[in-house]
Order: sequence, then structure tokens, then C-alpha cells
Amino acid sequence: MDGAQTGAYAAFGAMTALVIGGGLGVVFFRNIFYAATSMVLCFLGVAGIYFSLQANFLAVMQVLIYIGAVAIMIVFAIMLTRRSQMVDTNRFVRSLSQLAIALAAVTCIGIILIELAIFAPWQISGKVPAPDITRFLGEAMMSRFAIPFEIAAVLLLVALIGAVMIALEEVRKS
Amino acid sequence: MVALPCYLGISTLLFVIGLFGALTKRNAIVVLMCIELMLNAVNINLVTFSRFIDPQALLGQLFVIFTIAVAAAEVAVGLAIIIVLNRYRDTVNLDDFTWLKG
Repeated sequence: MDGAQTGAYAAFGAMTALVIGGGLGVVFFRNIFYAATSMVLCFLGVAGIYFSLQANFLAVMQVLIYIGAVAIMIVFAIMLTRRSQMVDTNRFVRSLSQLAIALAAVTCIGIILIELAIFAPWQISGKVPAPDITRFLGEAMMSRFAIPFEIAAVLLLVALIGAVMIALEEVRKS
Repeated sequence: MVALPCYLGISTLLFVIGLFGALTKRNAIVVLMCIELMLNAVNINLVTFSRFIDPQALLGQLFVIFTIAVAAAEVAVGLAIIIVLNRYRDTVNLDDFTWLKG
């Protein structure tokens, strides 16, 4: 039992390092392609966190959608908008005052949120989750949440057609 | 089992990093990436609450599925807009887009 606890903490620490390291990489790498790569690492860490929370379906979805689709799309956008070279493509704003204001705001929000997380009276339930989560989620989406599911499907269709129309504009004119 | 505040702490850190990047970067694609980081932090929160507070109904996990769908749509539209802006101005630097300034 004690060994399992230690293992859980070790896995959690590794995932934390992946998530936070990846996030910091996105912000602090000077080369935008490195930033995209470290974003993939961060998404992998988030998938690991879902696994440790026994959300297996979501972990697989995270890998499929974020690493398989979103990251690839962002790399394509980098490729389509890049100029002569990659170095120094990921810079901060020039004005120091703007940086300082952003840092102060972000620190305040972080402190408030962490204080809430520690001191709020969470009503933790001792129950264990259902053994077959994927089946449960599928049945819920086809019965009780059928209408949000359909709305999400329509939203995706509209957004993808809209994206194609926006990007096509020039071809249509000529 | 790692306690609930640890997961919330991770997600807060990720959210704060994403917010800082979204406020201070000059490249539009990086700002979009930072918004994705913030959405992921929110998703971690939802899954954590679903596991610790309401493990039987799994409403948080259902919510995350819809969040992921909306985030994917947002990335598609955002990148299309960035590509069109890049075509008109030949840059993705946000400081150069001041058309709405009077």
C-alpha cells in the first residue's frame, strides 16, 4: 500500500514536471518551433494527469485531439506564416511596463487561485468511479446529453466550414 | 492517491503560465498556443472535481469532452484568421494589427 502511494506521488511529480516544463517552454523558447514542440510535451503531461485521475477515455482523447490534430494544425500554421528563418520568432512585447503589469496581474491571480484551492472546504466523496467509464460516457452522450452533443457537432461543422471560407478568400476573388 | 489541492495547484500554475504568455507575446500563433494551455488547465480542474467530488455521475468528464470540441473549433478559426492576416500584412506580429484603432 505504501509502495503504491509512493509510486502515485512519483508519477504525479513526473507529470507535473512535464506539464509545467512544457508550459514554460511555450512562453520562454525564442524559436517558435521549439515552443510548439514543448506544447506537445505539455499536452502529453496533461494526458498523464487524466490517466492518474482514472479518466482513461479523456486521456486517449487528449492524445488524439491535442497532439494529433491541434499541434499538427499549429505546426502547419507556423510553416505557412514563417519568414526567412526561425530564430527569434517568439519574442516578448517591447515595453517593460507592459511586462511588469502582466507579471503582477498573473501573480495576483495565481495567489488567489492557489489560496482557494488549499483553503476552500472541498466536500471530497469517498466513492470509487464506475468501472466502465467509456461505456458510461457514451451512453450519457446518447441519452441525457444528446442535445448538447448534437449542438457540439453542428458547432464543429460550422467552425470548420467557416475556417475554410476565411482562408479561401483570396482564391475566390481572383 | 494524490490529494485534490495538488491537482488544483498544477492547473493553476499552467493557467498562470498560459495567461502570462497570452498577455506578453508578440506572435499571434504563440498567443493561440497559450490560450490552448489555459484551456487545458481548466480541463484538468474539471476532471479533478469529477474524480474527487462527484465520481459516480462523471459530469466533469462530459463537460471536458464538450470543451475539447469547442477548443478544436476555436483553433481552426483562429489559425485561419491568422493565415489571412499574414496574407494581407505579411506578418503575424500583433503590434502591427491596429486597424481598429481610431
